[in-house]
Amino acid sequence: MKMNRREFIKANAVIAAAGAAGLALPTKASNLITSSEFTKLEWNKAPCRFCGTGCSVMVARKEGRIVATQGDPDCEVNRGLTCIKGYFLSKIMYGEDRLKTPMLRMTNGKFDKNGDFTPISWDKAFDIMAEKWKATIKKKGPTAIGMFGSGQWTVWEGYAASKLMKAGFGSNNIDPNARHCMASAVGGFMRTFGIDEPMGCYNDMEEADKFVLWGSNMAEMHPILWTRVTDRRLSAPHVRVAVLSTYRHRSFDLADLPIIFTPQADLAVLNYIANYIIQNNAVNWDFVKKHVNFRKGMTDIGYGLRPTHPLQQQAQNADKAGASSPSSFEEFKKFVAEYDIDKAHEISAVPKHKLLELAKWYADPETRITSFWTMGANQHTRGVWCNNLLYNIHLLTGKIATPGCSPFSLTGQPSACGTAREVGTFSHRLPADMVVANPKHRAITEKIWKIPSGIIPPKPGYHAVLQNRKLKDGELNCYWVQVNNNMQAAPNMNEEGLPGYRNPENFIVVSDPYPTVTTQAADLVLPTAMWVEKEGAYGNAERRTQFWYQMVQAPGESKSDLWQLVEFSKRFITDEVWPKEVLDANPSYKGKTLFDVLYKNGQVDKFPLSDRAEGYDNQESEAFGFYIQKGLFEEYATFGRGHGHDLAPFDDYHEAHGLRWPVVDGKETLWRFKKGSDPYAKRAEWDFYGKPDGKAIIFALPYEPPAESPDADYDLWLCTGRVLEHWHSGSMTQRVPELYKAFPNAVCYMHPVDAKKRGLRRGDEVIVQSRRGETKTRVETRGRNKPPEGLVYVPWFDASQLINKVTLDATDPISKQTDFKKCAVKVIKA
Amino acid sequence: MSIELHVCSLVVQVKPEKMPDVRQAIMVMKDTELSVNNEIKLVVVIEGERRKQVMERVDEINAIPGVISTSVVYQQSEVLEEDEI
Repeated sequence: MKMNRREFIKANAVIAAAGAAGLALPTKASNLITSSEFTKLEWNKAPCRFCGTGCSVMVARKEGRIVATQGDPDCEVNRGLTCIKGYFLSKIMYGEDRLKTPMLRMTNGKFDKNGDFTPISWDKAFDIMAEKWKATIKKKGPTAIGMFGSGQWTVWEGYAASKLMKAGFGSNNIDPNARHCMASAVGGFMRTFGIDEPMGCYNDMEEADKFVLWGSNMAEMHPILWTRVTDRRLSAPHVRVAVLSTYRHRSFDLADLPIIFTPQADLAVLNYIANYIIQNNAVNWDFVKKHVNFRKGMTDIGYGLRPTHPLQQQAQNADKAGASSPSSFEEFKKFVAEYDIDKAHEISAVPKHKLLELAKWYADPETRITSFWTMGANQHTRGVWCNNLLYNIHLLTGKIATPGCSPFSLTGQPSACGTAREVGTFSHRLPADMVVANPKHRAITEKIWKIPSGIIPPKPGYHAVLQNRKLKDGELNCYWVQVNNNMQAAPNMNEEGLPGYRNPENFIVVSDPYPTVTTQAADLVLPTAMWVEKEGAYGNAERRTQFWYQMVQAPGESKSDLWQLVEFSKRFITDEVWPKEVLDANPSYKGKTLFDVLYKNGQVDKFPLSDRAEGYDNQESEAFGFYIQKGLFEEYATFGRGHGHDLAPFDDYHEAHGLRWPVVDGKETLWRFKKGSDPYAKRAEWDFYGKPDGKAIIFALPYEPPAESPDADYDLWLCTGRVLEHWHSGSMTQRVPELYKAFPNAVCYMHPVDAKKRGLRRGDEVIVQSRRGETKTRVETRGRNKPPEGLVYVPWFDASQLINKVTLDATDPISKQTDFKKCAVKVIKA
Repeated sequence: MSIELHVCSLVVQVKPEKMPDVRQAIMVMKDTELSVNNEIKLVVVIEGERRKQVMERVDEINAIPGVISTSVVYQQSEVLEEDEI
């Protein structure tokens, strides 16, 4: 049968889609073979570089350009599907205003903090950086040096950065933007299980009878996972879905049990469900007796504000927020007894019949139930508590770590798990869940890194929000930001972020592919290679590690973050940065560059260039003379192998379409902590081996009010978040014209009654104002988000309408994660 | 003269009771071709001279009552020569 090209492309598209949907085509249609001869396309896999779902995408190269993409049919995550952002992936690299050369603020050929951005060479860029870094270290020591990274770093970029900061400069002031999104989830996992990341996996979506969304708009934020939940709901008639949120959004379209609750009231609803389970004899005693301990958490822990803030001064236990004491089931029963249906209703404003229905779902021993949550639970001044309380109800009923029974913390970023959390790029962490404060953990790390004892400082560094405060206070002076747009993302930018970056005492470096609000606030901007312009690895929300090759060249002089970090390390010798007494005790390290001791250490440089796959460029390896990605990965993997975090050999990941750790004897692990499915679970049927006795912890934790609530002056709740079309601050997606046009500017979603009360009509220009700042936007009373009366929703992707001038920098005192979901504002006509 | 061709295939998830209505609605849309379906899913191919056109069709499909989600499976952009138009 003869076809023209148009027909051929369409036939290919149909075959791919029918395959992904599991639908059979008539034989005539499916016989159209997809001959690569015909189109000369060269296909390679790469994980999508947006959200934490971890969809794999097939990318087609033709004469050096990317001309087609297809959801990867061989990846279990998305089985051939992508969302609309995935559809435009190939275009994110081709925005017209890509940065192509380093640029320094200069006047008359010299650095000037108030000068104009002027193109300079990489050599000159590193000259001034090294000069500033060295002078600052000499004057104030390593605590005046800092770095802000990302859950969008590749695994080896995060690892190389962590080494450079903690082992090179001897500063723990490195934190990822994952602090803004996943820190409370990490806190929850570590407190309840002693080991980070979900026990279940996406396969739970085909097994559960009931799904409950606690503060997650999966339909927009994890659309491909939502198609899997939708498939299950529509194809198995008994399946039900509950959606809980402080406003109505797209996920409600599928909700059998839609629940709108008052902000912060999730704590009360969760305690009510625990109480209901106990009062109605639905406790799984066999499970609880064998696998659970009880503890009572510290209360009145403050709001992570500056110590001078009145709310902080009122708090009794702000300095010991994470403390807890042993307890018992009887004490827990007594503790939650006050959270009866009346109290839960009073705090949450949820109709009682809905609360009861939800509690019954969890209590029914025959129901396999999966709970999902993302930023609603994490960006919360009691985010760690919220995570702990979610685990409580799964642990009381033993509904955990078996197919379909899963408390599932979803991730925001593509490698929040793989890079930020597993590599340990937080200011208090080291690889494989270790922490800087533990001398044994430091010793293990120093040994693997082949550096002398005493280099890694024991004191945790500044976390994300604290970094901005320390910049403003002039205590943090040299600061490097990579792969994120924190000026737009961090809270309270008017009072903290901007004054910090523009403080004349500070030198701010920002690496990015595009101009952003953050590069605009910087002193030196470094042009950066992105996604398939470099070889990379990401780890998604279900512990799946995925690799990709460099497929195209980055434009101009853009270089990857990895190259930037490692090249910069050549500018320092140990004598300039390491403590004298450590060097005196270990004279063989004297006079070496940081490049020598961190990367050319016999491990990272172990693999020759000839190990690389044929047909793919590798800019960094070619520059350094060894296969640096492989060397970094293999050194890093030694931390977790044999300790429950086992990663497969490097080369396996270029073959497999993702593997879920622990990978033991070549086999990935689907459900952790359960004998039979997790090789580490040995001592009992469930073995929570993150804790020495194998038992998980149920925590007694109360409802406490939010840091700020609406009052007479500021009479509305403000909630911020994302929209489907844009990724985070929009620095990539806003440059895809079609995505830009689909959702060009942020709006203020508002209930029609609230609008009417203020004399506002749909489309009117308004000012959203808090005690900290204001931004101008337009009123939207229709559309995808429908807030209840008393709450407005403003997305944060729009650089022309910075909602973070308005938000409060209150954080969870345990996780240090900001609460972007609630503060008090007023909305007035502009 | 040459023109750009953008082709994109979608899997659309539909509430089963709405499947006939959704099929009907897509059938009358321009630049779209309905392919196979079962009770909860259908396959659509969209073509256009610009990606924006394709996006607009996706938005229209999303707005049809009963549509729960649309996912993109395959997209290809080519420049067609005169004899191929």
